[in-house]
This record gives sequence, structure tokens and C-alpha cells, in this order.
Amino acid sequence: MRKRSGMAIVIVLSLALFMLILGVSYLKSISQVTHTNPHRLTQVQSDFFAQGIQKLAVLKFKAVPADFYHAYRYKVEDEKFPRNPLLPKFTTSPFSAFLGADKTILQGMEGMADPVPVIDYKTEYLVNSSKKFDRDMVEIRVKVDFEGFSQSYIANYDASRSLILPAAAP
Amino acid sequence: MVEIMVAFTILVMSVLSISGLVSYGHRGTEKDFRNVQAIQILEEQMNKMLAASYSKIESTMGAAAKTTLNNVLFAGTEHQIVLGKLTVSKTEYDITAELEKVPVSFGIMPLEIDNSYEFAKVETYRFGALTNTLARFDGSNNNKNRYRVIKVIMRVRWVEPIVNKNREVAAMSYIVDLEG
Repeated sequence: MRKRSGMAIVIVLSLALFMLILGVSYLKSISQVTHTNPHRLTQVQSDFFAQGIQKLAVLKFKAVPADFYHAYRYKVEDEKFPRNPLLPKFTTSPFSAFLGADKTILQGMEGMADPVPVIDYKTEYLVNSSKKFDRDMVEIRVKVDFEGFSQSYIANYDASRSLILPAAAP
Repeated sequence: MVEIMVAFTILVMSVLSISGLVSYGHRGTEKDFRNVQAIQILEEQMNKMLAASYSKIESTMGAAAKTTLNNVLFAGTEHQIVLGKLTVSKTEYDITAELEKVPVSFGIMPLEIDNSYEFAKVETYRFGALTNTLARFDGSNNNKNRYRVIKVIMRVRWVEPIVNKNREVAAMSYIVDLEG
């Protein structure tokens, strides 16, 4: 009997240690789920905000398509090397004016994303032309920045140009 | 006897502590589940809102420039948007949509066509000073400058049980009239 005295405490302490290990491993397994949730909401907020900005960019393009195309063509020509000496110079590039200065509707305007905590956003247009047909693919890129999170979005819009000829005289 | 009593006391204390730990973890799991569910509801209803046409959404606002909706929209149709109270897995969520007509004006350097203009020759392009009057949608002129942008803020609110804490997830976007 004497040899076996004190065994109850040892057994109980071992059991308690075993249950503690089980409990801690269970907590660790669920803690990974907790970390993914804040990013999930930010992702959803970013997706919807970017969609809205892309639609605003399309609205601007649809409102003044001729000015857009001419400004874009000027930009492409202006960036060629060597520069065409006949090309007029402007203090502000017409295409930069079309994109908008910093803190305008398409470029990080304050309050545009309220109540979502967007830090900054930028919009770009690119044109991929098909010369054989009068069609363009206008690509609108939006980059959205949150604290600790950044995402870029690309949307492509098919655009066609057509010339309406006056009716022939009878 | 004393040894058994001490051992039993230690066992009971450790079991109580471990069960408290496990139930804390379980409550945390349920809390995250409600959060994920709220985000899913937010995403689903927001997608439906953005899929609806501008004219349909504008019609729900009446003459108001700003409104908050908390009733089901387009009920019974394929475009139904669930707003108001929604119970999912014993949790009641309150979904609202705040709509606001937003005046927008875009700045451009307008193309100025003169006698030298030729589309194929970029050097003949002339651009005027920066202006924001050519692409303005602020409701100032009946049709030409009518509102074409609605800001939508969707919120999903619920109350966390036991602690009775109000929680909310929200997202926003723009509905734009691209027709015509």
C-alpha cells in the first residue's frame, strides 16, 4: 500500500495535462478561421467599390468619346521617340486631363468611398485597336488601396466606331 | 482518503477550466460564423442591386434625392432584392440600402476642330482649356444634364447574443446610367 500512495495525484495531474493539450490544440485550430474574416470583408468592399469606379469611367468615355480618342491618339504620338516636331505642345497633356488630376472623381477623390475605408484609388484607360475593323477594346483599370490590402481590377469594353453617311440625293 | 480528495479537487478544477476554454472557443466559432454569414448576405443583395438597371433603382427613390430602403424590392420577380429583417440560422439580420443621387462632372480638354484638322494627322489636333461643362450630370438641365449616378450603401446589422453588442458590415458602390 505504501508503495502505491500518491499515485492518485499523479494520475489526475496526467489527465489534466492531457485535457489541457486537447483544449489548446482545439483553440489553435479555430484561431486560423478568425484571421481570414477581416480580409474577406475588405475584399468584398474593394470589389464593389472598384465596380462602381469602372462604371463611372465608362460613363465619362461614353459622354465624350471623340475627345477621348483624340486625346489618346495624341498621347501615343507624344510618347514616340523621336518626337514629331510638328506635334503641338500642351502644359497639361489632354489625356492626363481626361484621366483627371489627383483627388478628382476617377483619381482618389475624398469621400467617394464613404463609409468604406479606402485610402486611395487610381483609374487608367488603355485602348487596344483592331485596325482591320473599326473596333476597339477599351480597357479600364482601377487600383484600390486599403490599409494592408491592395487590389487591381481590369474591365474590357468593346467599342465600335461607325460613320453615318448622308443619304444620297434622289 | 485525503489524497483522493485532493486528487478529485484537482480533477474537477481542471475539467471546469478546460470546458470553459472549449466553450469560449465554440462561442468564438459561432461569432465568426455569423460574421461570415452577414458578409455573404451583403454580397448577394449588393450583387442583385448592381445587376438592376439604373431606371429601376431610380424609380424606387421617387422624387427624393436621398432615401433609405428597408423593404423587399421587386418582390416576386427574378430581380428580387431582400431588404429589411432576414432570419438565417436563428440570427436576425437587418438589411438596409441607402441610395443617393450624386452630381458628377468630368473635366476634359475638348477637341477644337479647325480647317487644318485631319483625323489621320495628330499634329492637326487642337485642344481647348480644361472644362467640366461638357460632361456634367447634376440635374441642372432637364434631360441633357440629368442625374446619372446613384451611390448605394448596403448595410447588414445584427445583435451578438449574450453580450448584446450591435455589429454591422457594409459595402458601397455606384449605379450608373449607361443607357443612351
